[in-house]
Amino acid sequence: MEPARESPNAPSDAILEVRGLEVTFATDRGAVKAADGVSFDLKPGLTLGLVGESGCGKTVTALALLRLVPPPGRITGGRVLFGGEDLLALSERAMEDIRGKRISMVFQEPTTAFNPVLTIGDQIAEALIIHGGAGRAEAHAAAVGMLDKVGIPDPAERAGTYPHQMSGGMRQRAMIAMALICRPDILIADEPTTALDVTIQAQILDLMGAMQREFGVAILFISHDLAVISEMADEVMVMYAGRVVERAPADALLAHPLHPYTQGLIETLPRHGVGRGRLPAIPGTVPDLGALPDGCRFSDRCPLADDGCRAADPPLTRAPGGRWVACYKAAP
Amino acid sequence: MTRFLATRVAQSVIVLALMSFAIYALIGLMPGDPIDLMISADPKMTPEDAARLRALYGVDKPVVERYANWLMAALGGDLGYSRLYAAPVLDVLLPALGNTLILLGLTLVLSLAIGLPAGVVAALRPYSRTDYAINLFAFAGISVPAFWLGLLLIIVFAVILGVLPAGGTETVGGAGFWDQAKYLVLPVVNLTLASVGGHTRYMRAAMMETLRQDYIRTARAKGAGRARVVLGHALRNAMIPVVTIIALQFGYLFSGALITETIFAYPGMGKLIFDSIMGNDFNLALVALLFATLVTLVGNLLADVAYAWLDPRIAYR
Ligand SMILES: Nc1ncnc2c1ncn2[C@@H]1O[C@H](COP(=O)(O)OP(=O)(O)OP(=O)(O)O)[C@@H](O)[C@H]1O
Ligand code: SF4
Ligand SMILES: [Mg+2]
Repeated sequence: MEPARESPNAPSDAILEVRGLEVTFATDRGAVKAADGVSFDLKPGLTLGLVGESGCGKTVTALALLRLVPPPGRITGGRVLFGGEDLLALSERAMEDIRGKRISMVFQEPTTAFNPVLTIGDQIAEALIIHGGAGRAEAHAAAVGMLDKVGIPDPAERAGTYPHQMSGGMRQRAMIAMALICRPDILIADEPTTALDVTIQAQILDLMGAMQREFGVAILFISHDLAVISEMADEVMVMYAGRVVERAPADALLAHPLHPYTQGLIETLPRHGVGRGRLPAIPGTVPDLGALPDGCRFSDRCPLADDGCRAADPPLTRAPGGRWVACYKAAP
Repeated sequence: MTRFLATRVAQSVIVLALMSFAIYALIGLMPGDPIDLMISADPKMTPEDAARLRALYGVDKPVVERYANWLMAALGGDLGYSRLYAAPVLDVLLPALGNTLILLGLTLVLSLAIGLPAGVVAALRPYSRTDYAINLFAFAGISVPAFWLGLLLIIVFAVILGVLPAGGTETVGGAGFWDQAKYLVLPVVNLTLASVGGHTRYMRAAMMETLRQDYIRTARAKGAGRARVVLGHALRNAMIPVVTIIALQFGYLFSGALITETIFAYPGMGKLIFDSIMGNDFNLALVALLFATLVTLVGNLLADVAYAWLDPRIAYR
């Protein structure tokens, strides 16, 4: 194991430090915390994978970093430290300078994430016009160059087409071009391949890896699919019902998952050579955030749950090997 | 785009042809014909005379044949003679059409210029005080009957305050641009108040819906500020449904003009259609109704062009 991955909390080399992030949604049945005390670091040139079942708070966490949580959601606590500044304390105007320039985002649905009435080229160039103060012609030329970089054939011609005239895979490539055109420090990719079919999915993952090597960008890679995460991530964070339940270097997490939920996720992976398909490993469903079980949020689905688990929520604690886990039974 | 336009123009011509027959047939169903009018004008006329006159004017022929004759003459440029005004139909009609188009044009420009920005502002801060205030005015405009409002305007501005004329188009002898403009104020205000509320509500709804879309979030994630998000990304998308509704409302606005024109004694198409039907002036009624159809069709055509221009996804269907 490389020493760099040994201590994910070493403060010096992180480009983004998230501490105790809390996002609350005001719903008809009261306030629910879609992200509850989420902490992690992003390091230059490395990828942090964020995994968890649908509804566990992945998107909400990602949007909170850019302060784009939609109402009725609100960021109600925590800090997002970027370059010595807490992004949560910035003015909206100052935040606009960060979005798309220092931290940018790739969304899940390339079909709906592009504006249907503007050309691809204009939408990519816009980021440069907003941030670089670039002229139209200059920005457009840069957009064409970026389309070329992400592997779109005939980039000059493609720049003039509208989103609906492109395939899903091409649109996602264009989306990556748009996110990277200002050379950001951080790229947040929220299920960038979920809407695509498998072969295209692999191409997009390759592209993201290549782009990371070229630009040295730190990536927060979100997916509900641990198989995809394991291909991309240097470090993995597992979320469950708004909480981080485990965080570890990718190989260590896959080889020896500590949290019962992570173990369950890994058992759903198709195994090489054994010839078995996916197993429905975790019984039950993600609890409603408005009706969480007492104590540990996983206790109603956990095979190891006992009264102690139901008495109090286990805190995220250090484990050997630079790992973190929130489970009474997993402690060393 | 050219093909799209050609198709739409062809469709409009077909609709117009069908409408001309429908109107012709409907007018034929109205009680009385031109000969009845002659009979009432000349009590000494015998039934035999009437029958001879019917045959002479071709009124006894089946409706399809009569329509075919009318159509041939109309296509040749002969739209007939107005009984009521004792003048060729077009000579009576064109000034009235001009008056109505001025009234409708000003109303449309004014109510869009007020309604669309008001709708956008309301949508930017939904359920805020500003939004409630704008909604209140919009609903008031929608709910108040136009004729009542027209009478109210006359009472306040013409009778009590005496600052604006109650009706007509110009002061006798006192011609000039400003004099005519004064006569337009109340009718335009009346029609605008009646339609601006709808435009505000449509714009508000469309804008709110658009601001919820994924691509708005993408634009914000790019660092776009509020103005750029609203004007650069949302507005054009939000206009797509609004343009359609405005076009559909065009015919409605036209019939609304009928009431307003009557109240303000404004010599436009509405008043002309009303007078021609009440006065059994068949030629005039027929052509006036056709022109009303034509104006509505042209309005819809313009909307389709705007629609195709706004939305690249449908430009070449
Ligand atoms: N608009 C909203 N209104 C109310 N609650 C919301 C809203 N958006 C999200 N939430 C809450 O936040 C939780 C997390 O949502 P989020 O979209 O982050 O999940 P996710 O992990 O990204 O799931 P998915 O895999 O489906 O994208 C939801 O379960 C829901 O309780
Ligand atoms: S704390 Fe208890 S219930 Fe929660 S995951 Fe660990 S063993 Fe399961
Ligand atoms: Mg999500």
